[in-house]
Amino acid sequence: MAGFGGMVNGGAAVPRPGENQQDIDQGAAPMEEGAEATDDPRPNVTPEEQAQYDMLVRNALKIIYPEGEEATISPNVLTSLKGGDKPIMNLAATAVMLVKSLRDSAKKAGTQINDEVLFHAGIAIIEELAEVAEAAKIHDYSEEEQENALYLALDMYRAQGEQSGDVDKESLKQGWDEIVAADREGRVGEVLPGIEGRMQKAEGAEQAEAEEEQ
Amino acid sequence: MSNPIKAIGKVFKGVVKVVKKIALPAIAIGAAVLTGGAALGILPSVGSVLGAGGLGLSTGLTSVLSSAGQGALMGMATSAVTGGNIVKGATTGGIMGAALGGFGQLTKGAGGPMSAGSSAPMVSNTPADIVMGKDLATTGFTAPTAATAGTTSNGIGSMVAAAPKGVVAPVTGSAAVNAAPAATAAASAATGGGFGSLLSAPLQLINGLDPYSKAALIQGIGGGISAKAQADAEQERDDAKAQRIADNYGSGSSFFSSPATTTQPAQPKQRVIWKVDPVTGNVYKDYE
Repeated sequence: MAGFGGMVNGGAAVPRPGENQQDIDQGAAPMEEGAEATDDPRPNVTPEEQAQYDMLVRNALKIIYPEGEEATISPNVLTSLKGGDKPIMNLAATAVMLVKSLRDSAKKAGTQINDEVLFHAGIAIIEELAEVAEAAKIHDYSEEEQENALYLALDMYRAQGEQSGDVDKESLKQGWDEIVAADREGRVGEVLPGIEGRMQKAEGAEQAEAEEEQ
Repeated sequence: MSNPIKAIGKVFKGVVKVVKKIALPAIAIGAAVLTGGAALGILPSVGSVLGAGGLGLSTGLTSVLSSAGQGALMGMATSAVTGGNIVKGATTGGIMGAALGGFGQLTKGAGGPMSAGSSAPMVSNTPADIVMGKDLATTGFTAPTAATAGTTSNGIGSMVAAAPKGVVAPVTGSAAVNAAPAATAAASAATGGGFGSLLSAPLQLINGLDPYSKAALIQGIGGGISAKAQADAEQERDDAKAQRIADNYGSGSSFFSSPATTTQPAQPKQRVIWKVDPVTGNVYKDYE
């Protein structure tokens, strides 16, 4: 697999091996609530947020693909993604380590990372690591496995962050209260866009299971 | 990390394009997992909490979040380990701990902190060298090379594989594990016999940690304890236990006298295993 190189200054998307610049979709329509489309939606963040996101992801990529080396993924990243029969855990833990390292280094440099940027950068890192794992024939993650790895990674990050002070537990609890209140009022889709489709699917599956048992 | 609700709807221009993107609903569920975890406890426990039905959530949201918890947990443990019981799966601390034990390994070369007896810091190079606002190439960051000897024994995955199936790896006896002396001392504390008061502080330290770190500490994956320290701690525990046994038989017995040095205890040793309560996050001792 060709290594990652040629980072473009300014954070413009860079083609991965096998792609050309034209392949990179830059501006589809914004994603609508409930949609599970995979078209890239239009960016809606500030230039500062985008710049911070670009730097975080680029630095993560430089760890994954050591600079100057062709066709090489970091052996330690590969080792981290390998292991017994726990591909979801491996993916989650690898991503958490990367995110934590990047966050800690930024802290040492006196740079305050926007939490919303960190959230999305972490997701991008999981997506990239999943592709690395597939390319390296470690594991071909299904979308469900990737999602499960995301949930596990978020939980691991939160658990550790509460101890280290990098996570604002009260703020998170506030977020949970918002979700619970919205759910009770039947408007959880406003707070968690896209979740209603999943909820309907889950309810349908439960109903079908109950009918089967009868 | 603070309330991620507002982050859900944010869209960034991608740095690279991936084939499989995580869909918006999953991002939303992730936000619920993140916030719910702060309110309800670690993810493996969320399923059982939601299942109790006391939160007044809708059926749909309960199902979605329970599935997230179960899916993530099953990603941590095979069904052979959990027997299909996700709460039981959460107590396989070896898996949780092993996954976190390799912090720093990603950017470290050979002979990282996972090596037994290593005094290397858990994280090397990365925090200082990967500096926000600077290109990595200009900071002198040296990416790991292919010649990272022994990484298969240091990687997270191998640590996961090393953890015996079905149980938390024992405090002693595992070549892949350096048990923390605090955990070892805590084992002595929990055996009673009057030692608890001397050794309760380390146990409190462990219990004060987050659940994932606790598992890592007990497993010794944190890499902070050398093999010698482990051996010393185990010797101390054996001596104390032998003394207690000897005392029970009184001095002057022709068969059992107060040992001047370490002696083998009369009864066979039970193997201690440590588990983490998925709900409270507290550490408790069990025997095998």
